[in-house]
Amino acid sequence: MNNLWIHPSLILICGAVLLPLIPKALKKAFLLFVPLAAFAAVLSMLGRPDALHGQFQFLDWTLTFGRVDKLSLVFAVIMSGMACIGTLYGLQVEEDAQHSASWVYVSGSLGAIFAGDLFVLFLFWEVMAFSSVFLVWFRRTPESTRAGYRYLLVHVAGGLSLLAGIILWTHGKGPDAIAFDNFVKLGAAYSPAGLFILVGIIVNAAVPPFQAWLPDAYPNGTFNGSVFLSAFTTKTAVYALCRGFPGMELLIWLGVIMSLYGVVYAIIENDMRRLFAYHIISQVGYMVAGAGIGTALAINGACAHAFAHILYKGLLFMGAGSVLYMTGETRMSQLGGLYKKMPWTFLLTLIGGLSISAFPLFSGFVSKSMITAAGFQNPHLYWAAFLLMLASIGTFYCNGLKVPYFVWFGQDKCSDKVRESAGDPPWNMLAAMGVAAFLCIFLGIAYGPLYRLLPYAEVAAAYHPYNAPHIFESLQILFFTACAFFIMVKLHKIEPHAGINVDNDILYRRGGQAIQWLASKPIQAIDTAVGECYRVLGLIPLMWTTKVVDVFDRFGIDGVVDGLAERVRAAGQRLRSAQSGAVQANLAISFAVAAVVIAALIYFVA
Amino acid sequence: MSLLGIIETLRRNLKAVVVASCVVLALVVAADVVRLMTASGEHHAATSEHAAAPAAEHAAPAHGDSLKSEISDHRSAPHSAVAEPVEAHGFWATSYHIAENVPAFWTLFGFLGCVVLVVVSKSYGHFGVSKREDYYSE
Repeated sequence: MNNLWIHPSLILICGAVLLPLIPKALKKAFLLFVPLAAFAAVLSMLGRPDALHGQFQFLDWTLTFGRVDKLSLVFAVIMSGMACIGTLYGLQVEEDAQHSASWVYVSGSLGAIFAGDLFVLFLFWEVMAFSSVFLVWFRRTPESTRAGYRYLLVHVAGGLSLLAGIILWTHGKGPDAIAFDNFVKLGAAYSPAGLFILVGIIVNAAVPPFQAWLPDAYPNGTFNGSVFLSAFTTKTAVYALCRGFPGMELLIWLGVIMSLYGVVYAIIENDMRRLFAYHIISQVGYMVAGAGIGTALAINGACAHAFAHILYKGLLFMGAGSVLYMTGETRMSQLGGLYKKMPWTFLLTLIGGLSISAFPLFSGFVSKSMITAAGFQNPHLYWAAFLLMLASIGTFYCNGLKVPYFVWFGQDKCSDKVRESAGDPPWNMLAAMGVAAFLCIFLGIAYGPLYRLLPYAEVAAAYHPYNAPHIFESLQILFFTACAFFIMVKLHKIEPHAGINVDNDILYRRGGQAIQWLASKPIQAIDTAVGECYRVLGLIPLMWTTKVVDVFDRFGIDGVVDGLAERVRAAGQRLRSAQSGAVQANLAISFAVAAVVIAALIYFVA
Repeated sequence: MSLLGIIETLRRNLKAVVVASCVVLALVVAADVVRLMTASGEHHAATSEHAAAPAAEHAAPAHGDSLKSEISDHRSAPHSAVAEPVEAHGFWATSYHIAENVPAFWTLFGFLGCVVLVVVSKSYGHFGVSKREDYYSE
């Protein structure tokens, strides 16, 4: 046991709690200090990996908060690093609660990644869900409030599935069964318990059919909240798949399907942040497929791609966030020709677009190719590798061509208000984007440090992304995709149009509306009729009787006893005013109460 | 020169940019074709060197046949002893999926793939998926 080990989540949570107490003059320094301290805490573990820290005895179980090994470290490094970039990006936001929410969210991710057992994993899994929803709610538009509730609905359901799987799995087994281990190796991947856990994880990874929450919620977040959202939830799930289900064949299918699903929706999408959100699904598809292939090269690829993805997707969301922050608009049908006003935002976003497209010398090139190479190693997986290559065409089409062209060039469709307010964003936002862009290019050229971080470093050391076949293959695909794009632009075939695309969340969005209609119209009418009958026939006579009894009770009996009832009533009145009636506040309170009740239940029942 | 200035210059000389891009495009395709041809040349060289030693001991007419079979062997079984030196991890290394041996395969893949993806997505959208912006607020 090393006493010097500090859980980075602890630093972030303490920072989140202390933030409102920091005087204004020191606030910006504190905002930068806390995530940097968490980042430093993670970096300090690099020298001594493969250790268990923070173990506590709880009833029969040993809970492990700090399983440090190569797999958890590669995710922890990039996530704590992204927390620094994301906080720098939102530095000018005055509201403390927004920073606190994003830090607690990151701490949930880091906690889940370092979790050595299923209970701790579940705990931080829920912390992630309940803190990240505030990043959507803080946008404070009616649409973001609704999207936040839908987000929470899906994630609570996913969390319940995870919990059900954990209970099924640990039930009747010894105390060692709570370890979060490779379910495929344990032969439990396709057992009911394994499948429940898998569903809980792939809800967070946005695997179809559980993907609609992502393009619903992420484009509705605050300009900087979405930068955080884009990085953590899905990649924590990728980590959990690499840890728990490597080599599960089902995941190859799901990964390939989602990589193409995201592309198809992104191509017809008009809102640039929603387009980027669909490309999270597409890119996470590569990682899920990599986890499914499960060879050392594929797992390396999934981790490397998650690492690169967090940076370039953060960069893309920062670019889109800058457009939103400056102009209040993200729909491509209402933008265009912005390069004159925001050239630096254009350049930096383009770097993100080239990185996600796996352009040579950019980070995607050295990470994505590992996954496809792992597919091409096995003739039975050629189909998957070719379909992933097809998805990469759509990636370049959308991120490298469509967004840069229709937002910064193309026909100027801005309203006067948008055109006047457009301009490069404040220094800190540009600086955060600059850091991310630098790292995207740095990783693309000097990939050695990244490869050394990967779980199978010796396999990674033998892999060389820059060889002639790979470079020519990429350049041909990218150049001729661009060729097709500009021909279609000339033919006026692909101009973005105003409109939205229905995803399978229509089931619960329209379904919810149907239930609401049912409740508000027929059921309400019946209720009103019954209530009216009751009022006339029952309530009015009853009230008369009660009044008589009340007078007798208060002045007759209570007066005799000592006025106790009168005082209780007054206390109740005061308590009533504490109830604000705001659902979000109630939710926070009931969440806390539920946690206490569950803890008590576990303590007394188990 | 400011960033904006560079972008403006590029836009003013759009024709030159397009021509330059086309030249690069042609060069990339040409380089790939040359690579494939020389790579198969290397196969010949490597295999004939290996084949030459045993073949020299046998009668000369068998030489051509053994070379052919060595090459087909090499394609189907990359782990064979002959393949090892060719499958070096160097810059010009060849990988063994079929697409590598079709010149300009990825050119067609990129161009047609893009068109197919757009056509499929757009028709999917027209199939009732694309709605007005206020669809959910009705």
